[in-house]
Formats: sequence, structure tokens, C-alpha cells
Amino acid sequence: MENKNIVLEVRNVSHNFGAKYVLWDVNIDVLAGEIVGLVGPSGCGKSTLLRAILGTHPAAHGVITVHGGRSGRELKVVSKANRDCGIVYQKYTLFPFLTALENVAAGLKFDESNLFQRSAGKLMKFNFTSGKMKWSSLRKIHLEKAAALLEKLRLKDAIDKYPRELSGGMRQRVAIAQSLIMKPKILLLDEPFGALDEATREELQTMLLELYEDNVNAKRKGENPPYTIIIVTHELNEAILVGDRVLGLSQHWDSKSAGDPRAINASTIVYDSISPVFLPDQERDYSLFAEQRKEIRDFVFNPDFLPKPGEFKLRFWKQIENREGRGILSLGDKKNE
Amino acid sequence: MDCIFKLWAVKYSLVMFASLIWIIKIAFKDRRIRDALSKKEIIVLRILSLVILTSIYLFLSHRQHIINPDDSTMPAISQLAEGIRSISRADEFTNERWIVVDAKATFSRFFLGLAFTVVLSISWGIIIGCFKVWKESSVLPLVFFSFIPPTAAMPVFFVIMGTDMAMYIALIVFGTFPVLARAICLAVDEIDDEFIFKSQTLGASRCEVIYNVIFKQIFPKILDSVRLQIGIAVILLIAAEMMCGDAGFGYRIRIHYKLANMSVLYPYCAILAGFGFLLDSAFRKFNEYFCPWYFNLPARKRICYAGRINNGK
Ligand SMILES: Nc1ncnc2c1ncn2[C@@H]1O[C@H](COP(=O)(O)OP(=O)(O)O)[C@@H](O)[C@H]1O
Ligand SMILES: [Mg+2]
Repeated sequence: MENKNIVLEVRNVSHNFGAKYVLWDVNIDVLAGEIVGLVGPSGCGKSTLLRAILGTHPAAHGVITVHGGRSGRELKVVSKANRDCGIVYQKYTLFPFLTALENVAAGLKFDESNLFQRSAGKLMKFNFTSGKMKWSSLRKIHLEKAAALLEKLRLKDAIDKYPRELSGGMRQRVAIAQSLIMKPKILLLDEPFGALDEATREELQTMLLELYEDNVNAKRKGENPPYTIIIVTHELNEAILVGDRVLGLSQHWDSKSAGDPRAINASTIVYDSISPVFLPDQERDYSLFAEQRKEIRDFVFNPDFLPKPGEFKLRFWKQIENREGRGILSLGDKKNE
Repeated sequence: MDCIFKLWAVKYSLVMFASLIWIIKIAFKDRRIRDALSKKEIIVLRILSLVILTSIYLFLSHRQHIINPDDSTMPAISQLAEGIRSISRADEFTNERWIVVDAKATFSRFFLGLAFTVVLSISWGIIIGCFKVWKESSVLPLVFFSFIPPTAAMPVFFVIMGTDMAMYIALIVFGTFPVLARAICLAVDEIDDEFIFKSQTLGASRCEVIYNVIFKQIFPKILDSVRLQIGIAVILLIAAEMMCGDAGFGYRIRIHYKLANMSVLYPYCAILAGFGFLLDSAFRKFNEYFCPWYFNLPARKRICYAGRINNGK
């Protein structure tokens, strides 16, 4: 698969806890600038897959690569957590001892200076940081950058508040800003809005769509789209709404036909399709949603419907070839290029 | 005499009983559970409690002196003043003031011991919290030592370490290190893995995770644990001084206790209590100042950037 626009490649990934296999032969390619909604029954292994992509818990079998990452070589095989992937969890997202601004600036701090430079800079006023800059002046730049990003995400009021003083929705926004400031190759969101009320959820979904709009604009200008996001959610509407592609991970498939006893009851990708995506200012056509929702219910969530591997609805790449993609995918992205 | 005393006592207890009922009525009537008090009420109540304590003492001391004018177990104000004068007067032979000599000896021992135990237990607590190899290879000895009453082990210290500064430091460390190290290790354990993963995705190195994420997060808890150990460190120090000191509060207290010289002993106790109280409040204030987030306080203005950015643009 030669495509320079692919950022994430998941190849034949299987994962087991003891004798029990949770993931079986998962294959995913993600294009730059996509927002992918990942859905699946509860306990099917979505978080496990994200942890493997993130690198904190590498998969037992298979290879995951993040392309074009800044840490190390061009092609990076994920084996531990690093700065190429960002993550936002449902809980425990922000450092409680830093204000929103400092939380967002934390990534820049860790990335562009090290502990020795900072303590030496504080104690002795040396210009140790890369670029021969005083730590205090570098810090000022970091804080300005962080403040600008917070302002962009409409978080100006939160700037000098501690996470505890923020509402749940604001906290998740700050957490997303904290990850985005690192310009990660790929941002993973694990049920990020699960604990929020409906109105706040919608606000945050709109925020993601605004990021997606940036992607579309960048692509139109021929630049690299800045944000690539995988969002795990149990809300089908959310997956269809915020993403241009929906992936279904499920254990409800005819695993006996895989011919391997380890595959039994393990999850794999059974559904992969584009989904309608509307930029924040576009009219939303909800009739498109209902159809796809029904399809996903049948294919991914129905325990009585067990498709064989040949019958999975993996039509994403076909759709891309036929130029059926929406949003960023409609902007001239050929698979073989 | 006896008869008068008893009659008085009866009257007195009747008055006491009535006022107790009255106080209870005021204290509980129409009060909601966890009802907040105004600042003024709080101050009045606190002063009142001290006044009551003092008057009870003065009354008891007065009773004692009616029975025995030379009584020294409950010194009157004049006796206390004499006692204070005697400890703050330059000694005839050495030309030094007891109080200064004792304070120097005790406080230097205390602060050196505390410094040692804090540095050691923070380092070790974080190491065993972060690296389970070290935890598992030291946890049993640590638990074993933490259950030996340090006062029981004191003779061992005298024999091995002599009776100078090193012994006091070692004793304080022995008495507080195991508990402190374990408390800090527990605080590290309480931090969710997600924080560590998160900081790794933000590019933090291992040292940065330990210092900027773990240490910063448990810092207020460390201060709280140290605060709780201050009392224990003082107990051990005074006990050791009583057994083998040649200066220090414990030493002086032992000497005067043998002479039943309470007019000296009480001021010393008051100084120790005041010292403990001040140090405790200092820790609390320090903690509030450096970790406002831990007390649900807003961030200090020093790191407030909103205003600057508004003005700047
Ligand atoms: N550390 C672990 N040890 C054993 N089993 C685990 C562990 N983590 C997850 N599992 C199992 O793996 C399955 C998938 O978990 P998870 O990825 O959290 O599901 P999801 O996020 O899709 O709800 C669950 O059945 C869970 O019991
Ligand atoms: Mg999950």
C-alpha cells in the first residue's frame, strides 16, 4: 500500500490477555486529516486497540506504524508511548496542579527543554535551552502559544483556572488543546465526551468539526491537513456526525470460520465505511444518518448476526477509489499515488 | 476548714452544672448540622476557650495555695514568673541563659533530624513508588522497623552512636523514616497510570515524569505527612534528652521534675507546645501558598496570564 498520505498503519494486530484473545487480525489504514469514529459493543476491545496504537500497551502480535513521526526515523514502529500520538481519556486528563494554561504549555515544556536546562535556568540564569534561549523567555513563548490555542478553542475564561474549577466540558476542551499543541501525527480520543451532558457534548462535537474544517481548508491549499483523529464512542450518532469514516470493531462475527481457535470471540474490524460529514456552517442532513445507523447496528452490534470474513462491510477504500468520500476525502486523494 | 471547703465545693459544682447546661443549650439550640460561623464568632469562641482554660488553672492553683502556701505543683502567677526569670537569667557559673542553651540544643537536633528524615524519606518513598524492584526488596525490613517502638530501641542507639548529635538525628530518622517513606510510596501509588501515559505522549522523559508529574502531584501530601510526623519527632527527641542529654529541653525538664519544680517545667512545656503549634501552622500556610490547587483555592495572581494577553492584543 503505497500512499504518502497514510499516517497510521495497523497490520494484523491481535492481542490477548492470558489465553483470552480480545483482538484478532485488526487491519486499519488512516489517511492524514481524517476523523475516524470507532464504534463497537462495550468490552469489545476498543480501548485495548487505542492503547496498542498509543504504545503504552503494545499489541502482542502484529505491527503498528505511525508515518512521518518526529521521534526517530521516518517510519516509526510503535513500541512505547511517545509524542507522535496524543491521547485524551474520559477521566484523568489534566494535571490537577497546573492551571489550564500551564497544562496546555506542558507539552511544549517537555518537548523543547529538559529538566536540567530548566533547573539550571532557574537557579543560575543560564541560557541552556536549545536555541540558546533563556528558559524564562522560552517559557514566555510557550505560554503565549498555549494562550493562543486556548483562545482559539474558546477557553479564554479558563486560562488561569485549575482543572477542578472547570466544568467537565471545559476540562475535555483543555485536554484536547493540551494534546493538540504537540501537533501529534494522530490524536486518540477514548470516549472523551462519555461523562458530559447532551448540550456540552454537542458543543464539543462542533469543536471537532471546526478542527476538521481547518483540515479541509489546508487540503484545499495543498498543505498537509494538521489534525488526524480517532474517536472512540458508544454513541453511533456521534461517530457518524463528527467523522468522515466509521470503523466498527466487534466480536459478533463467525469467528469459527477463521480456522484458528484463538480467534474465537475475539474482535475484529467488521465495518469500514465513509460517513456523512458536515462542516460547522453546513446544513446537516440527518436522513443520511438513520440509514447508516441501522446498517452499523446490524453489522456491529447485533449478536445474532455473524458475518463471515468475506461478508464484512469493508468498503472504505473502494469508496475512496470511486471518489465517493466526503469532506477532506473528496479532495482528490487517490489511493495509489 | 474541711467543712468550709466542702460547702464551697457544693456551691461551686452547682454553679458549674448550671452554666454547663446553659452552654450546652446555646451551643446546640437551633444549630443546623455543619452550620458555618462568622469570623467574629470564631474569634470570640477561640479566645473564650483560652480564657476558660486559664481561669480553671488559676482557680485550682489558688485552691492549692490556700491549703499549702508553698505548693509548687500548681505554681501561682508569681511563682511562674519566678520560674521564667530563673530560666532566662544568666547562670552564675557559666554566664549563659538556660533557655538559650536548651533551645539551641533541642532545636538544632530537631531541625537537623527532620531535614535528614525528610530528604531520605522523600527520595526513598518516590524510588519505591516508581520502581517496584526497590519496593519489594525493601518493604519487609521497612515494615519491621516501622513497628519497633523507637523508645524501646533507644538504648541501642546510645550504645552504638554515643550521645552526641548523630545519635539524635539517627533516632529521629529511625522513628519517622519508615512511616514517611511508606506514606509517600502510597501517594505515588495513588496516581493513575493515565497521567504517566499522558505525560509520555507530551514528550516527558523518565526524570521529567518523576519530578514534573509525580513529585509535583504528591508534594502537598508529602507536606501533610511530614506535618503529622513532627509530633513524633519531638516526642522521641525529648525522651532521648531526658535519658542522656547534657542540655536541651528534655534534660532541663528531667532535672526540675526531680526537684518538683513545676514553675520551670510549665514554661518549658508551653514553649514546646507553642513551637509545635507554630511549625504546624507554618507547614499549613506553606502548603496553601505553594499548592493552592490542593485546597481548592484559585491560582495565585503571579501565574495569571489572562490580563496580560487581553491588554497585549
Ligand atoms: N488488563 C487486562 N487484563 C485482562 N483482561 C483485560 C484487561 N484489559 C481489558 N481486558 C478485557 O479486554 C476486553 C476489552 O476491554 P476494553 O478494550 O476496555 O473494551 P472497550 O474499551 O471496547 O469497552 C474486556 O473484555 C476486558 O475484560
Ligand atoms: Mg473503553
